[in-house]
Formats: sequence, C-alpha cells, structure tokens
Amino acid sequence: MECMLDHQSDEALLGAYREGDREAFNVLVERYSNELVQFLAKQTGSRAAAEDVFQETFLQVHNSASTFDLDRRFKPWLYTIAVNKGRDWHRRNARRKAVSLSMNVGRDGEGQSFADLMEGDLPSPSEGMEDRELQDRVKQIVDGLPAHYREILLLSYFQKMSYTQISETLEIPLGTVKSRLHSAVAAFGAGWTQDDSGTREREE
Amino acid sequence: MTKEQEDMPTLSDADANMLDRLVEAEFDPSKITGLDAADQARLDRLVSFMGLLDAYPVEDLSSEDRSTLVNATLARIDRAEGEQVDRMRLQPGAGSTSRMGVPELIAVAAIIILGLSIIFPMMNATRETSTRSVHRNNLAQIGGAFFNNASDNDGLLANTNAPEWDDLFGETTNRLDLQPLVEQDYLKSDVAGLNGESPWSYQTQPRTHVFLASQPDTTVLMGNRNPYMTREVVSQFSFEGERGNLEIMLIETHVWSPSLLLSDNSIQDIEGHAYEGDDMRIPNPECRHLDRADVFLTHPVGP
Repeated sequence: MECMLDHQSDEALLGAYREGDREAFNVLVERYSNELVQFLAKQTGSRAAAEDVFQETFLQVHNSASTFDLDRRFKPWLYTIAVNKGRDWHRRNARRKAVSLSMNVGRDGEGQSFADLMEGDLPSPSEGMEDRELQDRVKQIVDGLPAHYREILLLSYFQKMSYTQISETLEIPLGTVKSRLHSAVAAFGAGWTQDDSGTREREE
Repeated sequence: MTKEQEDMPTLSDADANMLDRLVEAEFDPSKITGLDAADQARLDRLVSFMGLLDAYPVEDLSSEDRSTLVNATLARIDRAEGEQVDRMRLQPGAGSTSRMGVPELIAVAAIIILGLSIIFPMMNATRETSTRSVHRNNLAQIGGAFFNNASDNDGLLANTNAPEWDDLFGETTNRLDLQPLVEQDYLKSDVAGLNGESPWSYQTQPRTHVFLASQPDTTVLMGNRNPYMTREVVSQFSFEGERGNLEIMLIETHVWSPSLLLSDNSIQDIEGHAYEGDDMRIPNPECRHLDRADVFLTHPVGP
C-alpha cells in the first residue's frame, strides 16, 4: 500500500488524506522530511529549531488541508507555510544581529552598490581556508542576513525555485522577488567582504 | 524611492542580469550558452561566488532521524486534534459539529413556546380589533341605509314581518331586511355581506310596533353578538308573562362591545358593555334599557 502511495504526486496524496487516508499523509511528511528540515535549518540557523518548525508546518498542513485547492501545486504551498512558520520562530526568539545594509562595499562614488563581481576582490573558497572555518563563516553570514534576504536566497539557491515559484511561495510580486534576490546576493557579498577584511586585519 | 529601498545593497546591472539568467537556469551554468568572453567570465565569477553558499553546513537526516521526525510530527498532530476535541467538549457550540443535548433542546423549545404564547394573543387581539372596526363601520353603513330609506318612505323603517320568530318572542315579530336596501341602492351588497359566504345578520327588533325613523331618539345598537338570536342567550330566557317584560340572565361572559349609531351617523362605543352575571332587560314600550336602542344590528361572530 505504502509503495503505491510513494509514486503518487503530492497533490494526490493530500487529496487522499482529505478523504481519510492517513497513510497518504505519512508518506507526504516522510517525502519532505529531509528537504524541508534542511531548508528550515538554514532559515532558523538551528537544526533543533528546524525540526520543531517542520512539525508546526505539517500541523498547519493538516489543519488547512480541506481548504487547499488541489488544482494548485502542493510544494509552493508547503514552503509558504514553512517560511511563515520560520518567521514565527524568529519572532519568538531573540533577533539576530543583521549585517549592516548601509556599509559601502562598492567602488568609490557608487554609494551602496555592491562591487561588480568582475572587479570585486572576492576570495576563492579555497584560498587558505579550512573547510570548517569556511563553513562557520558562510553560516555566520547567512544567519546574520535579514530574514527576508535569507529566505529568498535559500529558496532560490538551495531549493532551485524559479522566480515565479518564489513569487508564489512568498506571495510577493515577481519584480520584488528579483530585486530582493539581487539585494540578498549583494548583502551576502557585503558580509563576505566585510568579514574577509576583518580576518585579514586580524592576521596582519 | 522608500527608505528601505535606499538602504538596500544592490548588484551592478550586469551582475543582476547574469544572476537572473543563472536563477532561471536553476544555477546550472552549462544551461547558459552563447556568452562572449566577458560575460562568460562574469558568469564563472558569479557561480564561484554563489558556490560559497554550498559551504553552509548541512547535515542530512539519517534514516533513523527521519523516522523519528515523521513519528514526532504525526504524534503532534494527533495531540493537537485531541486537545481540539477536549476544547469542544468544554465549550459546547464552539465547533460547528457540536450537538445540542436534550436539556438545551428543552430550553430552546420552552423559549420558543413562551415567545409564541406572548405573540399569538397579541396577534389575535390585533386581528380582533381590526375585525371589530370593520364590522362596526359596516353596521354603521347599514344603519345609515335604514334611515335614509325610511326618510324616503314617510319615516317608516323597512320592516318585514318575521312570523318564524313569533313563537320565540311570544309576539308578532318584524325584522329589517337589507335586500330591498341593496336593490334600491341604499347599500352596497358587499357591506351588507350578501356577497360572502357568511352574510351579515342584520336583525332585529322583536317587537310589534313600527319604528319611525323620524323619532329624534331612535337609536341603533350595533354589536358583534345579537342578544336575542344567540342560542346560549336564548336558553337563558326567563319569561314572566307572555307579553310582559323579558329578562335574560347572562351567565356566561359575552365579549360584546356594542356601539351606538347615533342619528347624526356618528358612532359611539359603549364602554364596559360586556355582561357577566348582570341582568339585561330587553327593551319594550314600557321599559327601555340598553341606551334606548330601537334597532339592533349584528354580524356573525368572528371575522
């Protein structure tokens, strides 16, 4: 029975669950357990928090299953709920120190524009940096991004969502999705540059 | 531009355009072709930069971890459902599927019955008042038609002998007929009740003398019940003599609110003229009670 369910689409599983098939819901939870927890771990910065938010997300799916339009795709709806639950988690916990957005990381005279990558001075990940150190540094920068930047960066890069899917998931206009991702990447670059400068100063 | 937009870090247009293409290619640079050397370098640089994100420490869930997480999630949902059921038990009516118990149904039924018991009498009273008003006005028109007819006929009311009532009243009985008045256009047939299934009773004065409409004190008594024709009243008759005064003992309460049609065609209600245990004497030449009524006009009880 479970093997048959494994081959069904997300939407079909949710439809079956609405008809009373609890096993279909179990398959759905199992199907997204690894992917969604990893996403939420990056969004919250904590594996434990991710598992908690994961449970809240599927509790919400259970509560709202009857209102879901089965003609729509399940995954964007799931991520919409997950993102919102992740935001709730951030609101309940201490705010993280965000990367300053007013830093001037570009060339002189270009205000807050992030450096053109062609001319930027970004180090390669392998430049004299241990894996562990690199991981900590990336995690620190990503976790320090404002939530709306972090969300869109995760959905885009890690979940490989298109602009349209992100727009649907975050329920924001397509143009906002683009500009926000541009800013998120720029903020990540700014954080990297700032952190790199600090590291170099400490080394000198 | 908003303050937030002013503070937003931005990419150069060239980097932004390349990022857009990379997103649509799901970050697979091999899907992006036909670039010149400069753009290819930009793409490589961007891919390398975004690749930094891969260093974010991610730990795959082991099979055991996944199983634990799924079970914990399902248990949490079951727990939440159980709590919801408990809340609905504590708050009957909070959920759309809650059912009313017998005590609640009895209470609701009692409230409805109480409401109806208040509303129905009010509605009946209103309807009765309305009906009485219509009947009174009809009787007034009938009375007016009698007098108009009488004034055109030497002051004589349109009396017709009614021998079928002689045995009851012990004397020759006359009655006032509406049919001639309708035929002579003194009265509309609908007012006379001749069109309906329950025509008006338009009697009566069970006396032998002839009324003269020209008498200044001629009075028409109008009511919703004819004290002479009503069976229960007749059964209470007590005769002191074949041609003497008649007494009627009204044992039952009669809802009888008569009005007087005065000679100027105005109507005067007789307040408190319902009798309970009172003697009511039928008018005769020697003894005139009931406000000297000379003609009684009645209509069927009820609407």
